[in-house]
Amino acid sequence: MHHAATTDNAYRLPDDIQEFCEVARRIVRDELLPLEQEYLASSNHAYGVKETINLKNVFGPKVVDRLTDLSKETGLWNLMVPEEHGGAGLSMLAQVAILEQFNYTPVPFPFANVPNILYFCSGPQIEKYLNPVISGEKTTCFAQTEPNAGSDPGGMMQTRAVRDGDGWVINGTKMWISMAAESDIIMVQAVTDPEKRQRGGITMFLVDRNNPGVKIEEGGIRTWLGPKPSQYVVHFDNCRVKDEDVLGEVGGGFSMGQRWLTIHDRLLRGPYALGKMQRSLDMSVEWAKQRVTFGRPIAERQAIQWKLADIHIDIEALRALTYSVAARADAGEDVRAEAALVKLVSTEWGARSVNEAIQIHGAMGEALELPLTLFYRYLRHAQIGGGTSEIQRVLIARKLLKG
Amino acid sequence: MKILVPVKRVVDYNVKVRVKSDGTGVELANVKMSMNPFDEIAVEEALRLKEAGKATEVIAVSVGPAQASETLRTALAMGADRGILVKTDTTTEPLAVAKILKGIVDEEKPDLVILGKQAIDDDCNQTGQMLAALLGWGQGTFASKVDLETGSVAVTREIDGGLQTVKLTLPAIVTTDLRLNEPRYASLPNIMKAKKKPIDEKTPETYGVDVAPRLKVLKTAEPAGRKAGVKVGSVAELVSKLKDEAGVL
Ligand SMILES: Cc1cc2nc3c(=O)[nH]c(=O)nc-3n(C[C@H](O)[C@H](O)[C@H](O)COP(=O)(O)OP(=O)(O)OC[C@H]3O[C@@H](n4cnc5c(N)ncnc54)[C@H](O)[C@@H]3O)c2cc1C
Ligand SMILES: Cc1cc2nc3c(=O)[nH]c(=O)nc-3n(C[C@H](O)[C@H](O)[C@H](O)COP(=O)(O)OP(=O)(O)OC[C@H]3O[C@@H](n4cnc5c(N)ncnc54)[C@H](O)[C@@H]3O)c2cc1C
Repeated sequence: MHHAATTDNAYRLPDDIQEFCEVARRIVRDELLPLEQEYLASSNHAYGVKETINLKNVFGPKVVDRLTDLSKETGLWNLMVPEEHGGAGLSMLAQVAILEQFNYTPVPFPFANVPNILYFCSGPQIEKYLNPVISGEKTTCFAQTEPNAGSDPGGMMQTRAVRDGDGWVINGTKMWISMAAESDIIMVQAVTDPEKRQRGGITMFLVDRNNPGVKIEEGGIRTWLGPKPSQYVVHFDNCRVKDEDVLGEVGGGFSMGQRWLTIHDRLLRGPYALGKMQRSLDMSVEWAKQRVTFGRPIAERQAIQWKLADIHIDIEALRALTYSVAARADAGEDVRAEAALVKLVSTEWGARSVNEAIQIHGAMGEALELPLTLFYRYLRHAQIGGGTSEIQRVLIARKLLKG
Repeated sequence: MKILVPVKRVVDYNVKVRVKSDGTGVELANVKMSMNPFDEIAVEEALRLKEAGKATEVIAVSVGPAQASETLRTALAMGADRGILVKTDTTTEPLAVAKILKGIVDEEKPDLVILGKQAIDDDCNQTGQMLAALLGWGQGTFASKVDLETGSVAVTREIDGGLQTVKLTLPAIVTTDLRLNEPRYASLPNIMKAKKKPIDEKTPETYGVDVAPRLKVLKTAEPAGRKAGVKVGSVAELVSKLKDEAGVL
């Protein structure tokens, strides 16, 4: 039996945040960990897929319904939803502390995961797009990357949207789009003004997946992240959309995308990594105490002790960093560069910590019935997806050199 | 009608307890503490009665150190209306707790007190029964089902031979068994609301109770480790071992 991280008092977090975390830990211990073996053994889970879809693919609707009901009853479902849209109104600090608990296991817990840019919906878009995503009826994907545009989407994006009567026609190809095939709504960026590009020339469109101009390549792209692929190549072939399908302002799509990445793909990588690191450490400590070589538990060897200490140091430092950046975001600071820091540190230190945990476990570390290699692959991937480590360093240095 | 639910702060049921090196008790420093699981079931049952419109107020009470207020907060976050903390740093024995609870009952006049059948730290299984005796109320212990009717409560009890149903005239005492219900998780909105719910602070003296222990713990020891088993090659060998070595046949 593994014990969920007991981090509550360590940072003197406010009482209510500690209580939220306690609820989260209990749900992980009593509801999710018992499902873990079956989840890991399944050949039906995929990376980057909304939790409810992944759960349904692995366990069927009974488990999804039970966990979704639990999520809604406890209010966790709305954890990341702003107060004005019915959310809990919790601080970023509370959110990161709670999410760390849920990342203790790869078994997903269903949340309303609304891409934060979808809150730019206005007028009839709220009913059509935003509310069904909050309630979980509809799902979205985010399509920015292209075969020739990854780290530099602003400069290299080739997908174009041109004016046509009272609407737009989109042409181009997006690649690596997570859960495109499982989504109802594609949030796609296209160049609307080639002169201006990232400075007012890229627009975000909400496109119905069943639009006859959308073609998703079947089968997807296979990666090491899961037995089932969930990244896709998406072609837009004379795809017609209306003016009312523009999210936010025409030309405002690029900065909007950056906002999504700042919180979702950068700051929230902190708790994403911390839960996995804490679990890896807890498992390593247990294992090291009971695994005997040459007459003694390996925990008594300095080589192993230093690994445990190193993982713990990474966790403590990352947690302090994550909490402090979350608190600064709560205070209204512009934390784009700091969020880049969190992303870089969480994914690089996270992967190296899990790497050491695998080593401590010997052959067992490689067994797929333990979550370690999956954690490793997820964290190693996150050094690329959502902006590479190099690009995070570019963002951090840009702030240092500004002015 | 009011329901009173006593809740105890105990070592979390997931913690592997260790005996202190000097044998005076179990190690409690830096150990995770939680609400006694049987008490969670009691809180849940009270809340269900309130949600069904059969009760109007659920009051949680805890006897223990200042940190027991955390246990009360948990009860409030689950949905209890208010809390009473009877603060004492002395290790309280069931009779002392029952006397304090009697004082609270005299003041609050609940129609029902729902307690856990035992606390998982000392496993005493006495407080509910003692409280019933002190009050002269009927008791339905080890409840696996509670049906509240007007003026009475039918309690289905888990006993050795099966199930027994007793009908008690209110006011009454009920103690919970594991299968009574599955307690809810506190919800985020309720945790936030609980911050505004009142907790009254009292002391044993408020109720004129002397909590000094009447029992003396002489020694606490780890249970003996289990010996490894043996594999048998055949039924014949098994039977002979059971006869000759275990002496059970
Ligand atoms: C599993 C998975 C899921 C994904 N999901 C999505 C999704 O849902 N939506 C979406 O839009 N995209 C998605 N992506 C794409 C992802 O965002 C890109 O892969 C990422 O931004 C990097 O782009 P690239 O792969 O084109 O690498 P490139 O940009 O080609 O970079 C190659 C290497 O060069 C380095 N490099 C590039 N420029 C510089 C520079 N100026 N200085 C120093 N080094 C540099 C990079 O850091 C990298 O190491 C996903 C990718 C994966 C693998
Ligand atoms: C895919 C795969 C294929 C395999 N194929 C075969 C095969 O065909 N035939 C076969 O016989 N075996 C095979 N093995 C087993 C492999 O040889 C062992 O896993 C390996 O020798 C390590 O042993 P272990 O896993 O028991 O780790 P352990 O010995 O338990 O070691 C655990 C950790 O403790 C460290 N450690 C141990 N002792 C000390 C010490 N004294 N000081 C410091 N550190 C220490 C280790 O370096 C390791 O990091 C295979 C393993 C795998 C994963």
